[in-house]
Amino acid sequence: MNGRIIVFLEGKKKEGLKKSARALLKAAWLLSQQTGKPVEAVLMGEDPKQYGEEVLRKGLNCIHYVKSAALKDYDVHQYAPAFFSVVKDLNPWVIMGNSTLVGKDLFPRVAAMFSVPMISDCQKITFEGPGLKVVKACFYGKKQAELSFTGNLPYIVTLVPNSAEVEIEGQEAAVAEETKEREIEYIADEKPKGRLVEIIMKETEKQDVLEAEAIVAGGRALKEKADFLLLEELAEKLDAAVGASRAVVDSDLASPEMQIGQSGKTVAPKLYFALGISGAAQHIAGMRGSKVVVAVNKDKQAPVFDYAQYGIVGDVYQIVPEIIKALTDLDG
Amino acid sequence: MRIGVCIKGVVEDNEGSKWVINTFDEYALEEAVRLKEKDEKTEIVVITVGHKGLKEMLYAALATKADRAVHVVTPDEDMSGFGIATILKSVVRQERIDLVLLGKQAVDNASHQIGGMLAGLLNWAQAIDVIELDIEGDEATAHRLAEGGKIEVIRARLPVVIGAAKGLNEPRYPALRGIIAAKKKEIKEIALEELGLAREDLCGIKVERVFAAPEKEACKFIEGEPGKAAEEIVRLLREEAKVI
Ligand SMILES: Cc1cc2nc3c(=O)[nH]c(=O)nc-3n(C[C@H](O)[C@H](O)[C@H](O)COP(=O)(O)OP(=O)(O)OC[C@H]3O[C@@H](n4cnc5c(N)ncnc54)[C@H](O)[C@@H]3O)c2cc1C
Repeated sequence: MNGRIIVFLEGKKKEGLKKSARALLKAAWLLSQQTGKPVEAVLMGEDPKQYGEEVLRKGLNCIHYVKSAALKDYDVHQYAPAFFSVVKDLNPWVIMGNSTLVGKDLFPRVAAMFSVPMISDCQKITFEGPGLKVVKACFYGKKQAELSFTGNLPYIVTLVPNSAEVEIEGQEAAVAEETKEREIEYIADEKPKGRLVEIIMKETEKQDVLEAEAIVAGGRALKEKADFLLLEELAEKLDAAVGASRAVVDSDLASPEMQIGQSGKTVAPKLYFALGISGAAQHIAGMRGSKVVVAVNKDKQAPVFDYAQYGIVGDVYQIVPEIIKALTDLDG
Repeated sequence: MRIGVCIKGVVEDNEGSKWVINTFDEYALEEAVRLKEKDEKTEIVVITVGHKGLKEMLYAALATKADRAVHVVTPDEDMSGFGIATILKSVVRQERIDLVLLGKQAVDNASHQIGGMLAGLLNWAQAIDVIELDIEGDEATAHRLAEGGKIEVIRARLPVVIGAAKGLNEPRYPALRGIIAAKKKEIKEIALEELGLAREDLCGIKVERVFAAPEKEACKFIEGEPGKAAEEIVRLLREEAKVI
């Protein structure tokens, strides 16, 4: 039984290593404890070493820094061949990433290059017998499926970022004695099939729901765009990102990247506030993995309460300012 | 230009028994139609993989300006995303497609794999999660949604795979005329063997079991007037749940 556990870690320009990358490393360590297989991490970019310091070395066999000016910004036409060319020589057993927007774009192409299937959006990953078992949502999030790989190596998986079940506090693996570091200069594809030519920025870059440890999500209870300012205020107190149900995205009160659910993003934060959200199956599908859910809804029968630990039956316009106040009192 | 639009049949409203076009694939189909409206020489080939019951769905797709359809007939139960992408690759090659349009993901299992895999297998350019597409001659420019609400602009020479997202366009309902005309359009049925593919090579993932997602513990309702309830929830989140 040989082969290695390869982890694709994502950095973020100013903030350093993504939070979800840390959770992913923990999942890899756990797997390494179960299997005895070494974990190796791959970091890519123009200067990937800048994130290297933050990578917890414990249990990590090696960090591969794949470096090139062509890897400055994420572009699948450079990232996929670069990642593939490095990983194919590492005898991979499992290749793991997060289903962030980058992971979602990169991994299917990489799987095609390896000519193997992959499983996306895993909530749980365990070693059983000689193989790998994963759990993921299916049927519009109403059910869960346990899946295993039956074909050729490597097994390729992406995990729901910050998936609560993956994050094992204080998990310490001890396979590696010391972490090796290796730098690889990637020779960019001079004639890539496609090219990233421009990045159009938003005026204010907000915390992404996929990266956040807490999310404040608003639903149809909110009547105007300005009402989201109230949610932003609450989010600021909690260091949370603001999310939304499809109903408010469809009516243009919130932007598409905020949408959580079946046709939006799948998140698994530690804390999730569902404010004036009814709890339709398609919404629940995207936030079911959250550790603690607080629901505020004026209808006591709303299905969202079936998925919440804490519920307040009431009007969001009355309750939310009070919560902000209670949190402010706490600070002061 | 020949456009291949890959569509997946999903069960309507996630229950019932009617097979309809996956919502995201509807954006792909509409975009193909718009490209054809700009250049009548464009041919649209609708491609699907799956059981015989998808015929009605294919007629619904052909009720637009799509020209014909290819239906790879399989009992698709245990096929992996890689299997589907492999089949699509064969069809795309056989039909000499220049541009593939498909939904960024399916609404039922939301795996968002097929577009990137297909592009990888074909070694074509890709842009997935696209909200704006422009084709000038043989050059495609696509706006795709990226992290933090940013938009990445991808440019590539055809052939290209485009994964459509909500916002790309507003799909129109086909007119009655289109529905009648659809019945006269060709649906070519092909079996896996005709593509030189063996079923075993298209699986690779086994469903061990499917179960109802676990119920959470009963909700703890916090009573009292708003100010008191808010203080209590903050206390519980700190002291009981320990998340703030
Ligand atoms: C294929 C498909 C995919 C979908 N994908 C998604 C998805 O990704 N994400 C998603 O969210 N939805 C998705 N949906 C839509 C989903 O079915 C629901 O329609 C949607 O989630 C409803 O949003 P909502 O809860 O905000 O609105 P509603 O269902 O209208 O609920 C509003 C809630 O707010 C409460 N309320 C109203 N006013 C107040 C107030 N002042 N104070 C407190 N409570 C109040 C009401 O009691 C109600 O419970 C999808 C649907 C389909 C068919």
